[in-house]
Amino acid sequence: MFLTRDAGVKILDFGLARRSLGASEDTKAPTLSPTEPGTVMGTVGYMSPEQVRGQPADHRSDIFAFGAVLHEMLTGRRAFQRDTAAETMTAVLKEDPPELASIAPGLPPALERVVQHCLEKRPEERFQSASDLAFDLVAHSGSVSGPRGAAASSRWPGWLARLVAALVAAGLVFEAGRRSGRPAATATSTAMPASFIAITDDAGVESQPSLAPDGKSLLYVAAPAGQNDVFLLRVGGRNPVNLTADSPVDDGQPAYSPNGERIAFRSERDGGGLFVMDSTGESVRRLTDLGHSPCWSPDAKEIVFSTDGFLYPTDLGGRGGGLQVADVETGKLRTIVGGTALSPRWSPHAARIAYWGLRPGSGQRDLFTVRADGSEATGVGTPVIADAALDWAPAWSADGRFLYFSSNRGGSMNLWRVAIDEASGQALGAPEPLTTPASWSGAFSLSRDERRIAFETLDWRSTLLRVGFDPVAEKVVGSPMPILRSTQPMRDHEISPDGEQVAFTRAGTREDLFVARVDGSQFRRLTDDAFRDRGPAWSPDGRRIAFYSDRGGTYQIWAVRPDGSGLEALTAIDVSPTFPTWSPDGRRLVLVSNNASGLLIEPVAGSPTSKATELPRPRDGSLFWPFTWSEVGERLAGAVVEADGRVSGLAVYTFATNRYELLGGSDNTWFRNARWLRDGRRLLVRNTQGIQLVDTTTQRSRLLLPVTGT
Amino acid sequence: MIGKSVGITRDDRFITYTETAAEGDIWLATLE
Repeated sequence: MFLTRDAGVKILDFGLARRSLGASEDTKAPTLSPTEPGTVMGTVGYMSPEQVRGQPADHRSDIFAFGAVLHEMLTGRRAFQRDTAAETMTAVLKEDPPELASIAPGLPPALERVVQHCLEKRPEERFQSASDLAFDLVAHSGSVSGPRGAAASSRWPGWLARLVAALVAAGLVFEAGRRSGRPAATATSTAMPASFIAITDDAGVESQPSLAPDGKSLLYVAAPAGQNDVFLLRVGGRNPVNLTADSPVDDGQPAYSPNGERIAFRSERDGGGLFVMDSTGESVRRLTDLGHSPCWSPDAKEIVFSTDGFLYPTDLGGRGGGLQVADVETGKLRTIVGGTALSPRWSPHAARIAYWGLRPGSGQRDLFTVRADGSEATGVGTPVIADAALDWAPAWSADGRFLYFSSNRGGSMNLWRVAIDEASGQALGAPEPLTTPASWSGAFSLSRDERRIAFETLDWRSTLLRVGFDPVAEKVVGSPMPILRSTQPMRDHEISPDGEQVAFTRAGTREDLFVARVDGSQFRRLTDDAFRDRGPAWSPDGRRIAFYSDRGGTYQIWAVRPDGSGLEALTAIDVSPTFPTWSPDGRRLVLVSNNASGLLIEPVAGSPTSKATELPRPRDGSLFWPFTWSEVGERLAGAVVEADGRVSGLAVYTFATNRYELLGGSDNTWFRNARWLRDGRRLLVRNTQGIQLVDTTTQRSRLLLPVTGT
Repeated sequence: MIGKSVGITRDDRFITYTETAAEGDIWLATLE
């Protein structure tokens, strides 16, 4: 679209717009009808919210696009300009454009209202026709005036009127095209043009897709009745079939066999393990009594799996198992690789297995491949990508030339791929994006012809709440009040010693450290980079916040002032310390480690310390993860972790006796979930039911506040 | 675990905690 020297408006190029090719026309690609609900088409930034969602679009989508163009012409800036296509689409869905007056002072309020009316998120709230819009716009264009002066007053109505004429004419053409049934489609502006369909839209989370080799049906996991089940859905269909309806426990992680006739999956039934069933859900039989994320070998004779699992990529504990392979007929196991390895995917010509692993000596997880015959069993596989971005969820192309994966390297968690040599596992180029219309997408599954990719999307809602507490009556007081809300999950938080501020980390796409006042004001980001910053802990004087981070290559303890200044490393310890807790006098910190039973350090100003004292082990092979230090400094409370990585319960360590008191509670399986009350006798504990009050003397526990959520 | 932390003010008068929920859908991309 060009503004000519004589203030005329000409549409010289329709850019990405083109005629869509119907099934009967000259294309072999299985593209979808542009008017089919669920298809996303349009130029990122000018697409309407309903187009981004893949919902049916009509002339009101053109009115939205017109509003976006008008906004840009009036201000010189795009209404929804962001760094990446995914972020732009998220802005289209969820954010208001900046006010015209804030960018271009002097525009009449009536014109701003016209633009806003065009850019309403809901189609029914926009102008309902191009003629209504034209009438309103022409009426107001005659009133343009203001501090730009007389020259501006006389010039603006002219180009505006011509713009109205040009765009409304174009809009009417689009409307006429739609009415006559002619397709009017565009493609996405991504590296690989694609159309998108939302296959499921039920309440809750549908996840873990496995696309049938022919791309015509899909397995996924959902919990409409409260427990996870495996569902089968025909692509384009609306009636999923629950394949594990007869199972009273969680079932998930389905994987189609190469010919689509069988399904491997994880089930918690009878102690848990991997199972195989027919594609109809019949003939279920156990394969192993352990394992997660099964993936079939190309000849369907074996299944590779990880010994440990995970729910979200920014939510891993310290545990991590290796990869094993099970013979489908005999169940016999062999080890492929040790250490931390998750999400294995067998390459199409059987040579290698891609997985999500941990880079040796660091907290950085990345993509690796390993020989499928197990000849690299003692070591770590070959890294595919080695940088600070979070790359996970590998999936091979059918010809083995590409490895698709999810990554936050573009700012959102999105779809990427890298060219790869299947035989050696070496990357053959830089990662390239294939942007999806979602702020978080992962767990990809490709059809055999590589034309279809199923993936899961996630939208988070996280709230930090505060509720009054009466420690004498041992009950909450009043109703919980929200302090902060976030579209990314808030991972850890701690209130400042004066009770005025809260430090917290967000996960989801990136893990950064934030501080805000407890009334939600003065929200500020203390770290802003690709490193993982977790576990904030205020020093007793409130002047520093300790946290753990991999910003130095390995996980170490760092500290920063609440205003964001003074970032420094506190430790240089070779056992990857995490989750710092200050002593009440502020002279020491106690740390969590997967390789030691609680580490005591004395931070030294200006120099990271390498000296740490390990606490005794609760029993042979187990570790103590300290979470909270009592007010007068004599006791620690935390979790006991057994040799197999299982958290067996809470424990209290007393410095004077050097002994542990085990409290039990095996559902206390996550970090930083216990806090001492001032009396050093009672603990607040967050577990699966909510917030418990635990008396460490009587070992009596009761639920103070039920809390639901993911 | 994501979104499941607990805190308490130093005077024991206020408990803080996070509540996290997620909505997730399956999408299908068709490469052209």
